[in-house]
Order: sequence, then C-alpha cells, then structure tokens
Amino acid sequence: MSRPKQTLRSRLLLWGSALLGVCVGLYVLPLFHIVPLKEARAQSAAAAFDAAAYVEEFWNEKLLKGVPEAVDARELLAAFDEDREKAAARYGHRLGLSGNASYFVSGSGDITTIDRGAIEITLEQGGMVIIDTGPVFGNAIRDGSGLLDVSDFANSQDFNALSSEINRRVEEGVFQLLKEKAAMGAAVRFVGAVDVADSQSDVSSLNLVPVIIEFP
Amino acid sequence: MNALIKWITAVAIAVSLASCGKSETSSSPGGGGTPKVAVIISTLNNPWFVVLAETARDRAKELGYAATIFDSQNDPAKEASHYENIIASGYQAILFNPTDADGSIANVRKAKAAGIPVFCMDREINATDAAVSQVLSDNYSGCVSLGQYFVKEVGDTGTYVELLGLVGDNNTWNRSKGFHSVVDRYPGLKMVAQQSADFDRAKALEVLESILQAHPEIDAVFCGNDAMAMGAYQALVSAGKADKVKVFGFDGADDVVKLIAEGKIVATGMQFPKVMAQTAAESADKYIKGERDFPQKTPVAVELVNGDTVGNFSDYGRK
Repeated sequence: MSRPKQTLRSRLLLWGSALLGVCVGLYVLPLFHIVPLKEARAQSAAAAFDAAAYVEEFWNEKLLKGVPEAVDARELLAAFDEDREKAAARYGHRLGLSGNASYFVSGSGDITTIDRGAIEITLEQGGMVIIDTGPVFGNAIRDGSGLLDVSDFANSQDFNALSSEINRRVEEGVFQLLKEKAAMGAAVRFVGAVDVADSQSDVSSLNLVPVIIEFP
Repeated sequence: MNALIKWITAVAIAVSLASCGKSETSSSPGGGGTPKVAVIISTLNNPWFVVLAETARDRAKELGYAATIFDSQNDPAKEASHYENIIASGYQAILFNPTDADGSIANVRKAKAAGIPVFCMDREINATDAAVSQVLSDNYSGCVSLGQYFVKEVGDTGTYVELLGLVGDNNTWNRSKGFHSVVDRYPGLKMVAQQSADFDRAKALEVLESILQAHPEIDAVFCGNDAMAMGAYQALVSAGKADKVKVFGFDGADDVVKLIAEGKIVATGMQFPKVMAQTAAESADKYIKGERDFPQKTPVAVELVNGDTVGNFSDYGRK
C-alpha cells in the first residue's frame, strides 16, 4: 500500500513547488500595480507640458538674447524689393513645407498713425511698419525667431501651445506699454516678428508682432 | 521523481519551441524581385484619405517599388494586425497614416525593431524616436487662419455649432483648439452645440439634423473636416437653411472646393494630401538608398480656401 501514498505525496510536492514558483514569479514581476487615484493624477499632471514655464524661459533666455541677430527692417524691405525669393532664403524661416516665411526684425522710426486697431511707424529711411493692436494670433514670433525646433515636441499640441502663450505675453506686456505711451510723432525702437506669404504681392510694409518696444 | 523529470522535460521543450516564434525573418534587400513598400491608411471610407493612399502608392511605384495599400478601417486592432502581416512579409518601408496618436506608437516600434522604417503621413504619433520621419499638416495654425476668417464672415456676434472629428485623433483637437483660440476671444460668438461626427459625412448629416431640432436658428457651422461639412451642408439644404447658415470645413476636398467656388460653402483649409504622400514616399526611397538625416517632423502649412482664393486650388492641391 506504499505506492499510492508515494504517488500522492510526489504529486502534492510537484504542484506545491510549481505554485510556489508562480507566486514568487508574480511577486517579482507583478501583473499590475494599484496606484491611488490622487497619485496617478499627480503623475500625469507632472508629465503634462507647461507652456507658460517653457515660454518664460524661452523668452528670457533665448528670444531676448537673439535680438542682435534680428534683421534691420529697412534692409529687409530693400531685399524684398530686389528679389523676394532670395530675401526669404537669406533672412526668413520656414516651418516645414510652407508658402509662408517668418522673420525676426528690428528697427526704429516715428509713429505716424494711431488708429483704434493699428499703429503705423514710418522708418527713418522710408518704409512702413504696422502693428495690429487687436488680439494676436499666429506663429510669427515662434517661427520668426528661428530658435525653436518642431521636432523637439512629441505632441504638436505642445508646440502650438507655445504660440498661444507667446501671443498672450505680447498682449499683456508690450501692447499695454504701447497703449500707455504711444503718441503721434513719438520716436520708437522696435523688435518683433513678421510673417510674409510667398503669394503676397505687396511687400512695401511689414506687419509686425512686437517683442520689444522702446521709447528712447 | 519520474513525474518531476517528465514535467521538467516538457517545460524545457516548450520554452525552446516558444523562442523559435520570436525570430524575425526580415527580408534580404537583394533577395530578388521588386522591393515592396506598404501604405497603411487609417480609413478608405473618406475620399481625402483615398487621395493620400493612392498618391503614396503611385509615387512609390514611380520610384520603383511594388506598393500595397492596407486599410485600417479606423480600428487600431486592424492596424496592429496589418503591422504583423507586413513585418512577416518582407516589406522595405511603411508609409503610415495612424489611427491613434498614442495607440499606434507600439506598432511603429515593432516595425522599427524589425528593421522596417516608418514614415508617418498627415497624422502624428506622440513619440519622436519611433518613426523615421513624420510629414504632418499644421492643423492648429490652419484653423487659426480659418477662425480669423470665420470672425470676419460671421461677425463678432452670432451663434454657431461645431462638429468634431474622431476624439482619439490629435488632429481633431488641434483643429478645434486652433479655431477656438480665435473665436473664443469674441464673447458675442456663442457655440450652442459641439458634438463629434467622427469625420464621417453620413454621421454629420444625422448629428446636425438633430442639433437643428434643438437650435433651429444658428448662423454658422464649423466642421472639423470636409466630409462632415458636406453632411452638414446636406442637412441644411433639407432644412431649407442652406443660404442662412454659413458652413466652414477643413481638408481641401474637391467637392467642398467646388461648393466654395459656387458660394455655397464659405471656406475650408487646403491640406495638400498629395504633397504629404509624395514627400513620405520620397523619404522612404532616400532611406532605403542609405540616407539617414531626416527631420523628425515636417509640418506642411494649410492654406485658406475661400471665395477669393478658390481659383488657386483644385484636385487636393494648388492648381
């Protein structure tokens, strides 16, 4: 009668050790983790893109330091007069495949028109820069600076959020200054971005989204 | 202990057989016959995507490849099984239109691990280290321009409806956010309803018909793509409101461009599916021939098509 007992014992041993093996395995490599809801939410919030913080750093560390590289407005207008394509290739930045180029521009002149929706600045050696003072839209500063690379952003929405934040800064910062200090005939120095479509026939003036405005 | 030995032997055999299935039989490039390129499209149920798929296939053929189109039918599971198929069948490259910006990443990584380069077209995946390159439409900026034109045409006060595309698609939200980033700045413009019609013409017809029951007096409809714009326009025609309600779409589909020329639809954003498909096919060819320096993302600008500019466009691109 010893044989049936032995078989039972060895079977029990076998299954017991297999079960133990599985339990150890699952301990080492668990099938799932339980994370408290609060902690999970905090984790995803931390991973979410903070456009405001990014733009704060970008504006102060890169954009303002890039001002010396901005092309003079008068020089750009002259280059457009001579050869549009060459001017775009030399001074402009294109985002991917686009029928539109953006430029980082600086210059100085006098305010010659103040309308409800726009301010016109006539440049010292002729030529005009227009600042549309309504809500700011578009990617002129983000793309015109030439300092940001779309390939660095895994999600395009993050790259787009940069423009919204940049435009908000322009409205809350530079535009407020313009509102307070702009006066007919006032001398002004400006730095900003300009978008010019390849199909635009008239490029005798530049529509500027300002980054810096100074009244010397 | 006989049973134990038998058990161990069985496990050992099973483990060794299991690892056999994992080895990839990647095709040898010089293995005779025309090299093959796969074109995986999210859906062929929408004419815009048919143009994307066929242009990619035709360009690949021109460059000397045998190209096959795989339809994912907007189903990530079907897309995954296409990938399994393609990885096992010796394709040299994949021209890919993802179904889900997050869900599709795993498929691209599998292809990458198997040595097959992936080139995304039109829609992106939320990873910059999986695909070789991504040729994307700049949907957000396109809808910013469209939103500015919307305000110009509808005015600063009025009511409108928004029909959204597939909620799992980054483009749906890029377009909606771009549009709202402009239109929400005008508090007089009120959105009375916002619903998804899945980028589908028939669904948009249904959805707008039922919205019109609750909101019979609206000034405009913004649709996240042209297929939905056509459905919305049909709904308005049936309700007798086609000349009172302004319709805005997005894509640059032929049928909407024609209606814009006729003054029946107000505007759309031209997306250039042909440019994207050709660029992806050409990048694949360059990669296969040894080039490795590709920008991860190449946005393709969207251009506003309205009554003034419609003469410049036709057939999913510039005239």
